[in-house]
Amino acid sequence: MHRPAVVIGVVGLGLLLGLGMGVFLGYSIWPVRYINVEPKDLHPDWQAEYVRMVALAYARDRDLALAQARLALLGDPIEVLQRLIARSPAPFSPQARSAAVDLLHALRASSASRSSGGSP
Amino acid sequence: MRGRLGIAFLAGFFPGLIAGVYLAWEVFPPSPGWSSPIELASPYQELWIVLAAQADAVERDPEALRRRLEALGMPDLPDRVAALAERGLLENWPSGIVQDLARVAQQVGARSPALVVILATPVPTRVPPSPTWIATPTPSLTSMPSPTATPTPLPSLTPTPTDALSPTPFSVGIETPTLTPTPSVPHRIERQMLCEASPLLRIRVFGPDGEERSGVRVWVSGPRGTEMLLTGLKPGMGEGYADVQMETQQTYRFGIEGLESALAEVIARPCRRPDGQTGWTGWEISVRLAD
Repeated sequence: MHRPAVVIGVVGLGLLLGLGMGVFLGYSIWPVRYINVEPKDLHPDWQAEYVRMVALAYARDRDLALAQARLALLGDPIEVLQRLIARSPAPFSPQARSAAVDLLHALRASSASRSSGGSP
Repeated sequence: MRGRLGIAFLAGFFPGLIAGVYLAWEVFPPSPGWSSPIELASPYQELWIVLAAQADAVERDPEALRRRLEALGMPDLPDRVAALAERGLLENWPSGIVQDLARVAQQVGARSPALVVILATPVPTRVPPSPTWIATPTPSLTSMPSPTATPTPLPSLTPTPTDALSPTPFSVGIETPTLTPTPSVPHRIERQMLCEASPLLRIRVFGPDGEERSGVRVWVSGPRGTEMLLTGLKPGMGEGYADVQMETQQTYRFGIEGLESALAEVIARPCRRPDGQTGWTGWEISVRLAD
């Protein structure tokens, strides 16, 4: 026969080890997988890719309102674009860099026009 | 006893394991900010494809295109891209986007007649937003007697092959083949009124040689605005066929892209079907393109 203290200690030890194992499994082996997420839930690298594509699409169709709406899915369009240009995790293609800078200028001009009461 | 200690250990271990998993999944789940495009909701995945196609049109980087599209993890990617291009066409998206999608669909291995048609179609000029006049004076539209089962053909200017129109069960009248009203619209138009439960405006485009012509963009202006149709996209209905559902008592105008004027105007009016039930006038309009 074991003393109750020993038994309780062994149960506690099992509990702690089980808890650690459960947390490890839950985070690393079978982590929660989100589905039906929005662009703002993407990994930062993929967000950067998204922003690059929006800039290139703007270079294609010159639709500023559309580009703005697409960027707004990640937050403030100007901030999002500035962040990409400043800290892009992947190197820009020359077209992508030019498109992003071009879009940023257009967004700033549009924003300035709106704040000064001009036509949008 | 060692066995009893083992049982005591397991008695603590399994509840701990369950509690740990519960904590990781339910109480403190990781933030969703580390998702990949494969986990995007379906509309955002479609947006991703559109963006990838548009970006590729500028960048022309097959490697970047492949990386972006593969991130979606779609086993049926070529079909999805092709379907998106066709949807864009039917929903009248900007033609540049539709063509970018069609090009990418072909690049990733999709094959369909619609893609060939889309890519062969030059980027169109803008459709007139609301045609303001009717090309043909159509007295029969306003003074149309209540439809009867007996067709009363008016004298026609030129004999017209009746097999140009597909047979329909509730045909109640055939209108005169109408010559085009102005020299600038040199197309020949025939209209056939049908009485049906759910009115449809059917358009059939023929070339000058009398053969049905696919890939012709026609616009239809109705109560919901102007939409663009492309002939030949309905399997089994013929190369020159396109249709649009009509709303009852509403006026629809239609024309060929590039023409300023409408070729015809029709309305879905109440009519009596041969079985005695009330129906609505649908239309089948055949257009024979001039040289």
